[in-house]
Amino acid sequence: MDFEGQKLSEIFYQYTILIFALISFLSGYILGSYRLMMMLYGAGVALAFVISVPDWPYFNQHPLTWLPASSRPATPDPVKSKRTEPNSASTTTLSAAKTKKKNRKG
Amino acid sequence: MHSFVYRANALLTFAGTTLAFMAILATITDVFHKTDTDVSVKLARVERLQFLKNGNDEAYLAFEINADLRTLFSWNTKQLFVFLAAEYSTPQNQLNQVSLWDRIIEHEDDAVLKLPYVRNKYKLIDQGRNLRGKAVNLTLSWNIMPVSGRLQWGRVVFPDVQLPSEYTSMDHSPNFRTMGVGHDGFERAATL
Repeated sequence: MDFEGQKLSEIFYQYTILIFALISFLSGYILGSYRLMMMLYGAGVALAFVISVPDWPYFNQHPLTWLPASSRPATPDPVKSKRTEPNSASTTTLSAAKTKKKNRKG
Repeated sequence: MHSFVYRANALLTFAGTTLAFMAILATITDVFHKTDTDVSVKLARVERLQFLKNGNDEAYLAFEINADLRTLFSWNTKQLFVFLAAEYSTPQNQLNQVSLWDRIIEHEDDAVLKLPYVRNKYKLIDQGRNLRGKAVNLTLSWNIMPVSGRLQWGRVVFPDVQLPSEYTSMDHSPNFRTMGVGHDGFERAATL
C-alpha cells in the first residue's frame, strides 16, 4: 500500500463507521430497539473492515518512484567509518575510552 | 497504516470510540423518556403475627399488588428490578427497612402486575418485639437497569399500614405456608 493509499484507507473507514453510527443510532432510537442499533453498527464496522483493511489494488495507484541506483555508494559504510575515526563529532568520551582499551589489547 | 494489522487496530479502535459515544447518547435519550406509572399496594391479610423463641417478632403477610410499569421501559432498558419493602421505626432502630418481595421484569409485556394475593417472599422479622400494632410504610421501589448508562430509581410509599395489636393464635394450621392451598382457597401458584 502506498502513501496515498494509506490516506485513502483511513478516510474510507472513518466515514463508513461514522455514517453507520448515525444511521444505526437514529433507526435504533426511532424504532425503539437497542439490538437493532448494535446489529446495524456491527454490520457497518464489518463493511469498513472489508473496504479499508486488506491491501486492495485501488490503494496502490501511486507507486513511489525511486532515484536510479548510482555506480558507487553515496555514503561510506557507517560501521567502518566509526572504527577509523573515533574522535568524530558524534562519538562520546565513552566510545573514545572503548577504542583506547581496544588499542591497548591489540 | 502501512500493514494489515496496523490498519485493523486503527479501525477497531475508532469503532470502539464511536460506540462509546453512541452509548453516551443512548443514555442521554433516557432523560427525555416520560414515565407514567400506576401503582397500588394493599395489605390483603396478616396471616400470622408471632414471637420467635429468640425474642423477635415475625409477621406473615399477604399483599394485593396492582402495578402498571410498562412506561418505565425505554429503548435503553434491559430489565426492571421491582421490590416491596416494609419501613418502620422502633426504639432500637430509627429506621428498619425489610425487603419482603421482589421480581425481575425483563419484558415490557410482563410489566403489568396483577397480584391479588402475594405472600412475603422474604421473612419480616423485627429486631425485638415491636411489630404488634406497628404502623408500617409499605414501599414499592424499582431499579430501571439500562443497557448502557445510568441506573435509575423510583419508589412509591403507601404509609401507615397497621399491623394487628395482638399476636395471632397458634392453633390454626402450623404448616400453613408449606401447603399447596391456603385455608381460604387461594392457590399458591397465583402468588409467585
